[in-house]
Amino acid sequence: MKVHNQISKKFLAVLPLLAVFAIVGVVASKTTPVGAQQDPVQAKVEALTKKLQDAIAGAQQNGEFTTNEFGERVYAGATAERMKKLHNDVSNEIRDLQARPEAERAVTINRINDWNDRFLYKVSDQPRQEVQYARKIGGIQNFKKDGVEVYFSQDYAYQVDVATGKVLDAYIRPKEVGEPKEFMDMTPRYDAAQLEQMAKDVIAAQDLGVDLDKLELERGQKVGTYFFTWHGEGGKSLQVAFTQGGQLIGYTNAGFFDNL
Amino acid sequence: MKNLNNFSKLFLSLAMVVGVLFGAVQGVSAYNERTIICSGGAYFDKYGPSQYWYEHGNQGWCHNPNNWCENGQCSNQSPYNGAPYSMWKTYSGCSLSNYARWNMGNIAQWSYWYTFIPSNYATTTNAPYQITYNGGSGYSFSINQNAYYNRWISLPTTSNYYQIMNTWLTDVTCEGSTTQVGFDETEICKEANSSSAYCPGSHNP
Repeated sequence: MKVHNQISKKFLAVLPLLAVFAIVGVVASKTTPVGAQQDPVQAKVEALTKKLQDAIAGAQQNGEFTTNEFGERVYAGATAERMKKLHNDVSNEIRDLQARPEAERAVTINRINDWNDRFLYKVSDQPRQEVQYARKIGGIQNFKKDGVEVYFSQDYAYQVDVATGKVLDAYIRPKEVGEPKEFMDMTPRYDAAQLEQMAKDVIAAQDLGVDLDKLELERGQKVGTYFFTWHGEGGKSLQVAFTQGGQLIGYTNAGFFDNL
Repeated sequence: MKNLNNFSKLFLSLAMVVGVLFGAVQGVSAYNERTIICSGGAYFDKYGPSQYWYEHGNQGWCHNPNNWCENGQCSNQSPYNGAPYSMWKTYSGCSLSNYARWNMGNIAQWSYWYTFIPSNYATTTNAPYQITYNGGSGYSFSINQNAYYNRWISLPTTSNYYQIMNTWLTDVTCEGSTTQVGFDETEICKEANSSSAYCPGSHNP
């Protein structure tokens, strides 16, 4: 017992030192490391952001304003044009600063083109898709996934695992005002059972090593669009969507990343 | 040694206080990292004749009780919901009648934007969205809600946006009167390390 007490006393004696180390460690882990401050890309991002912040502050004091259709106070006239252009320029510059080299992205674009050749263009007149880089992303539909980049074409958005070149997500994308409407073949050509088999074929061709018979299938339908979602453990899912004309409008691998 | 023990206790108490304060600060910061604004919560406002608003329970992002949105307003006990885990819808029109706003926080940060399209009650091919950002800029785009089934959707082509203020969605789709415009959760995520490590959904980085 005496030995135990001595150990306890020694332990208590060094406790203040341990506490100091713990606090310093926590503080150090939550602050920006010195190395990061010297990162030239991060420094440029901060400088560009500061430029935008200054412009916003200036516009709030001296800019032209109006109210939009909802009664919200928004920029007007030359201020609106100048601020939108500045924001887009800065945003694009940051995106380019943070992107992988163009040659590496070109390899990924080739993989998407191959994927499109295999799974799109099954209906007549579907336009060829020209793929561009958009940005990086941290996850696929509620599942974290490092090393995923977003690309887009005229009608689709793609998410690709850069390491393997595998497409994890390909879906009809939203449209900016003024863009042509996305191509959707809504010809009543296939029934739900036929489209379900086509969806299974799409999944099988991804080589994910997943046995669909062991997953729970949810069948869904909207107006001329059909959705097949296979649910696995832990919220994982695979989803394929078709128009009734047989055009693939969506594929998503959410969480089945083990065998990419 | 007794004095030393007292000193140790004092120091440990101080360390615990610092630890608790750090935890609190981290909690506040986390709000800005990823914010899912509930269509049933305090940051969502509906406008237009109430008889054209319809609420459907157990739909959308909140249909899964494991999912999360700001201030826990996905929950069954949310005072803003008349039905549990709900979404809202209205019907298509050709002039502005019913519309809604998600208050995105006007946070001074670069953010990625998402919205969740439910499996039901969202069949418009031309849902007109607008986000305001950058102190007063506006960005308008449309989403074919009929092409999505319980999934998060991002912006058309663009990257991140600075200081997102509001998201607006209206019923002006100019489709048939039975076409439904769905209103569910929206999300912003702080750009972290050249990608949004938290998005979409509510996974942790």
